[in-house]
Amino acid sequence: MGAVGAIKSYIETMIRDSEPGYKIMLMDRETTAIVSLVMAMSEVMKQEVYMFEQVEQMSSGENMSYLKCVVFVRPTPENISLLCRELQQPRYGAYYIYFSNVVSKASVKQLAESDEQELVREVQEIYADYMALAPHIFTLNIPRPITGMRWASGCLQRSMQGLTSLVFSLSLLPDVRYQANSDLARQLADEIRMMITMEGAVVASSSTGNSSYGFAQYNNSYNNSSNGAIPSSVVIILDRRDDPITPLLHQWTYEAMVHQLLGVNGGRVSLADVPGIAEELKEVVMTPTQDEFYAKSMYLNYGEIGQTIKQLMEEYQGKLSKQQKVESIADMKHFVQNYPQFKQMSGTVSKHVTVVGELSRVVSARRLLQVSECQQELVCGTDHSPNLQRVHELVRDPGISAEDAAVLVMLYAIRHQTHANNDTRGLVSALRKRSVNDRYIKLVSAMLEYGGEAARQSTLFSSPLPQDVSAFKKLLFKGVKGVENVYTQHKPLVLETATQAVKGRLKESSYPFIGTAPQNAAARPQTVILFIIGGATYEESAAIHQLNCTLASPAGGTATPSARVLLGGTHILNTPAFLESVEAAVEGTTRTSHRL
Amino acid sequence: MAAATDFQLNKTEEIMEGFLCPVCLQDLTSIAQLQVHFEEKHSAEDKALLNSLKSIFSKARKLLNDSDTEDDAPCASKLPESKAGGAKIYSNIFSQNSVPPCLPNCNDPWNWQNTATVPQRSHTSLFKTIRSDRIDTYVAETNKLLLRLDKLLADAPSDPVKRKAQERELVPWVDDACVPLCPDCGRSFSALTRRRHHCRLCGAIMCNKCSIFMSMAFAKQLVAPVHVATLMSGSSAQGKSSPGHSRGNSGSRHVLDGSAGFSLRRSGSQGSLNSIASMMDQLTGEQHLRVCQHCHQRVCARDRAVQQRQHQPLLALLYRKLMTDRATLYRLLPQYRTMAASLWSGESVYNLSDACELRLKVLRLGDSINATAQKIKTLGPVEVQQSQLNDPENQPPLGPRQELLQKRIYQSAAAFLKTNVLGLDKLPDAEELQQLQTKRREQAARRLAEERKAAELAELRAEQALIKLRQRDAEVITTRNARDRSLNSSGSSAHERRALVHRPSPGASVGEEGWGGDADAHVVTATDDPVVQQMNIIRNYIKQAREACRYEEVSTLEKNLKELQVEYRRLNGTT
Repeated sequence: MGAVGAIKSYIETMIRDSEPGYKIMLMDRETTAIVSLVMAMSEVMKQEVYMFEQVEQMSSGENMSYLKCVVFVRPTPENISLLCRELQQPRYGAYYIYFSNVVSKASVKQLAESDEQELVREVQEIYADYMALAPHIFTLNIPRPITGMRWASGCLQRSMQGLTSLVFSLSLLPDVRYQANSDLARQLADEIRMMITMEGAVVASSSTGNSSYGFAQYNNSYNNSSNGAIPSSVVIILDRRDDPITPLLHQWTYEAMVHQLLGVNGGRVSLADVPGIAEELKEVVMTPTQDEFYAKSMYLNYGEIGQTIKQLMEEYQGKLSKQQKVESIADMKHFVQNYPQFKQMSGTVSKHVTVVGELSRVVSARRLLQVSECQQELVCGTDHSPNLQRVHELVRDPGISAEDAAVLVMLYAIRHQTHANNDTRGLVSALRKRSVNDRYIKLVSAMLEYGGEAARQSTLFSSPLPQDVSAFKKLLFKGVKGVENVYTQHKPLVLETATQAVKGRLKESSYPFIGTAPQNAAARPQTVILFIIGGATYEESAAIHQLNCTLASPAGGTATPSARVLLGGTHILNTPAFLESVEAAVEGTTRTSHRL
Repeated sequence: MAAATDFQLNKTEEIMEGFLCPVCLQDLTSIAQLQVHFEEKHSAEDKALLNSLKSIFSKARKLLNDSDTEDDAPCASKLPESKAGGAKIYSNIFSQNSVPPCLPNCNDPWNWQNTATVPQRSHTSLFKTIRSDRIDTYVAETNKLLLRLDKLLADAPSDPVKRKAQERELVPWVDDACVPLCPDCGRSFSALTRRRHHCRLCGAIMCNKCSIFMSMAFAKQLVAPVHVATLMSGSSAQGKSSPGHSRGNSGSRHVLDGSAGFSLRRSGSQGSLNSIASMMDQLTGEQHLRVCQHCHQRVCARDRAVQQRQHQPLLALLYRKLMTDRATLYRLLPQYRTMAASLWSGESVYNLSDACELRLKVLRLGDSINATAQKIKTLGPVEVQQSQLNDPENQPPLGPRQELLQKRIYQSAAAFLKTNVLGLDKLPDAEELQQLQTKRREQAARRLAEERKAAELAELRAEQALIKLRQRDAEVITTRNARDRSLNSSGSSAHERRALVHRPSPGASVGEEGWGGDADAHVVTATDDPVVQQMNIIRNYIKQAREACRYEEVSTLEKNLKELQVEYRRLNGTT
């Protein structure tokens, strides 16, 4: 089961268990995001939930005692006290309370003592404390998890809660591994392991259907879980600092482009800045869970998406001409019958045409093809001097935006940090000459601090592909299968890590276990959960999706694939968001080197 | 018997057996026919597939031949084994070649299967234990207050001085000296400007500003519903009656004596009322009972709970109707859809009249839903008026949120109608139906003829192919030919068997569904003739089936009945 499926079944459980009748759903800011990412409001309304309210802004509103209230909140102290206040002066007739994670007995007691009118019917704890974007990718929406190279306050706790809730919702009791050179990763891994040890009985009892299956057995099965009922699995905590390259590159798959160039926030894309935009398109929903077309095309590249949109348009126009021919009564009936689907389709078409149009406008305005080509040559090529020359050219080119130029310099600085003829200084002064915002110039050294040679343990640039990049230019975006596209040569590091993990070949020295390593450390885990502190990207999501698709099923059957890989991050990054989080991360640290 | 290939396209799909063409799934009777069919129909489609298939055919054939030559005589008992060998290879090649195209990404995360349950942990019992401990004391407290209130109202002497004594006797008043400051606002008391006052319910002390004056009407109402509520929990027959109603009806009950007595006194003398009220609002002349904030909160909460239990808003009633209609409609729809589809394709499983009736039922339900939803949408003012009749003070006016709720209910009902009823398939009229049915019959006949012809043709080609083979390997052919023939015959017999199974067997279906065994199904007029009895039983069944909306069975049963009637007439004619 994927992340989306788990959250959905939790929502359905909540609504189903609260008996028929009209209902209101009381959520907090985060749980609202959790629900809205996997289900459209109309979908929830079909199940008799007609109204929604946020705990943080509970109106003193009128008494609606005939309504049943489904409460779905995180078990934070603030939410508990808000709920207590609500129960002391209840506005609804019955309360069904669901906490999105493990809730303490003290909190339950506090609530129970406030419920003087005996209105609470259920108090349940479910494990839906993460935002599921697709079955294989989730986020915790923490934009700046690190300040001064330490966990920002509350973020370690939140990350632990998010990850353990994911693990529990998938009925897993995983081993925990972490990136050896990262203190942050070790801390988080420690916390996760502790939580699993404390609360893992939930999974053990539910998966065997026997509550007496106690914790002693769980502890036994923890280390040889391949024998037990719970499939073997592993959580691997990674640090973004090991791969600062991926979030700096321009992306060419549909989903990643939308996020990189327009920005997706809680499944919504704001198009308000697009010139001449229609009112209803100022903000559009872009989640694969609610848009079939998007689900089908999110991993297509820029060239393919153009084709697909064209097909969609043609299909639509075909229907349109049929629709417009309303002459007889029969035509009219037909029109009315098909109108809802038609309208839905027209919404989809106009949305995607607008989005793709805007993408292509930005691509040509910022000359992103050139920029991206240079980026790919930087990270996948090996020669220093042509790289330097090309970067110089583009940095001086006034047609390239200041931000893109700065990002190129950052990529160069990281790529050729140890090269004998490194000329980052020259590039930075070229940036200054362009009078690029001082922020970006500071960011070049910040980036070296954050993700330079000293911060990395993996060999990020070890696979030189001595291929003449320009030879492939002609095959640009033709979508020829099996041929590397010049703009998408880069493969994110996490893909390599995931592949190794699936094969059970991840080195223990680089990714040690928390606690003692299990005896079957080399065994292939059935579920691999990768979590990147500092955020994941859609490029990585697409790569993991691809990996999942190619993972062969053991017996040729389709029901049980040999393994699945889930990817998560504190946030989903695009370049601007990454730069901001890097700024926050290095804030207040003493720069060890890299005065520029 | 003819089973040779295990073709598993998908878990959910039924398993087909026989010599199936991997591309179009046509059932062919022999390997040779399959090969011919494939070369003929699909040669252009996929060279690679064809090649691999060819190699498989030759392998399979070799296997078959091997097993045949092993035991020189074509022995029937050996056949299944050899076929099973062939089957293995077939399933291999199919899983390689035709499954992947159907499911290009078998491990696509979107296809990950959901497990049935997600873990969750209930804290409800812990919550309820903690709550009930607290609630017990809370309820006891509240009950004490209400009992005191009841006594205060019931046995009050008319004289103000005596009244005060009675009040102090019922509720022990806190000593003035113990309380130097008002416990609520924290200001000090003085003899003139801020005097001490006692709560008439708990005896606590507070200042004038911090006391709450409970109106007599409200106090009365508080006491009365307590009894009504306890009464109601005793006799649920009274459940729906409003408080005023039950008060009027059951004046004889001793529990209500208090309120009855109270209203008597009230009409008796205004002066005594003044004394009942420890404090009187000078401006309005209304009577009040001085209570502290805590007591007030408690009794109010109690009042609200009682109100809630009794008050059934119109909205709830309408909504319940809406949802039951919706559920019924939902149940009927798939039935109607299959009927309509069946009728349009010219089948005669269902009666047209039954379908029409069902359609009407669905539409009527749709209308009813629409009307209810409309009513809910415009309910607002009605709701307020209605509740104002019940109690004028405690009902808040229609707020924006209720309006929103009503609007949303209407919207979702409208959306439901739009997707389910508006696009309801039309039914053919009688004439059209006739045409459809004859067309279908013709088509079926044509298809049958075509199939026969194709089979003959394929047979011919298979013969030719075999002749070619024979030239290559004359010895093996003799055994193969014999086998082929036996295969054909067994294949066709299997076909017949399937057809037999397909024919509906009404008796069995009635038995399976279980509703046929009801007692009244066998209420038949006393007659000795078994055929007449049988007919009557069937008539009963038809009636029941109609009632249960099982139109498919109605028509099969009717057919049965007709047959019986013919039989009966024939019998009667001969005798």
